[in-house]
Amino acid sequence: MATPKSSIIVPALAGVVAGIASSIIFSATAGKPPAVVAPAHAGSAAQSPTVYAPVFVSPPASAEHVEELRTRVRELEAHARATGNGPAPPQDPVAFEEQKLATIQRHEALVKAHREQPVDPAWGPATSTLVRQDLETLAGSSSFKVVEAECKTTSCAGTLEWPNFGAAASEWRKVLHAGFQANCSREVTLPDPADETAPYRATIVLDCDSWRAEGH
Amino acid sequence: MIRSISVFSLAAAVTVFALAPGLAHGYRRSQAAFTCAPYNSDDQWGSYAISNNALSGTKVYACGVDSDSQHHPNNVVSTQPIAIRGSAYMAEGIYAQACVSYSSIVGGACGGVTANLTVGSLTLFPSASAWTSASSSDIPHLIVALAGCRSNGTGSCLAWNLVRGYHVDYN
Repeated sequence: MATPKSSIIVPALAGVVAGIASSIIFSATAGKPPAVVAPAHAGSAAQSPTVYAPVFVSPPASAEHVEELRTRVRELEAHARATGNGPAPPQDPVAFEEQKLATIQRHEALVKAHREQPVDPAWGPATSTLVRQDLETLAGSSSFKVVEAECKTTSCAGTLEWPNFGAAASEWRKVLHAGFQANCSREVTLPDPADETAPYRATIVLDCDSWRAEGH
Repeated sequence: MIRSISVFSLAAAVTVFALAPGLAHGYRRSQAAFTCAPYNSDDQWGSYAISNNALSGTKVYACGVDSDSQHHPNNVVSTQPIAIRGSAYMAEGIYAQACVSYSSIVGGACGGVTANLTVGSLTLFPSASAWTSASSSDIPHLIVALAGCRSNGTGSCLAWNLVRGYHVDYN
């Protein structure tokens, strides 16, 4: 049986109008401070002055209702993010810790990939010499010493040791910005130390894929 | 009747979802703090460029790169996504690197160092490898080093190495 078009169009238009009206109302009220409608007394009048506290106009919501709304908002935000129009992820401490962990894990994965890479005898030892030379030169004007520097097939890793974390935190950028003879991409991460006064080691990983592809 | 109510509700929900602030167009933009540099000093920004006005000694500058959830430099074009416009009076007068610093921990990553081989007005194309392998929470920036100026023989500068600005091409 055919359905008249008006049976869909009319409620759809009404829904659009209602949606626009809701959005306007939401926009107009979103930034307003809560209304103060009644004074709240703290203690007796003889003991303390009257304290005015904000009282929300809205009726109290049940815990179930609040949780239902939270769930719905999460669903809407997830959908919006999935479609590329979502709000930014929340800046909460949990997200910050997750970012920190992800950064450390990414660095550890680079180190692991380097360690597992076979050595190309035609490239690795010669490049290791270049990297070590440059790191030793940097060490001459810094407080770190070069513990290890080794290149494999397309990557290198240099382990550096500072007298303490503070020294590492002030000098790690020199290593990133140095003009190495092996002009590779480089990455270093300095996780929080267990003891800030103890000697601190960090590993810089050099990705020489592009540099080697240029014929070096 | 039920059909009409369903259509009404759906249309209302879709419209609210599309128009509600904070849901449809939210995004985050990160900006490295070192772009808050003194203004009107030729070392930082004068004559619509930064230039090293010292007769000796290379000066290093860090330049902020806008980044937000719509346009993070981990999604730049594959060929020469970064173009640094400047002018040099000497070969290797300008060095550049594209880097990220980590936002939640000490550390960062940089691409290889690129230097100019020609003189006069030029464009440098540093590697964006550190950007393309970054996460969206990493803070992108450029490192630019300018060699000192050429002396006119009386203690003043005759020619400079300078950078006017830079472009980033996103996908």
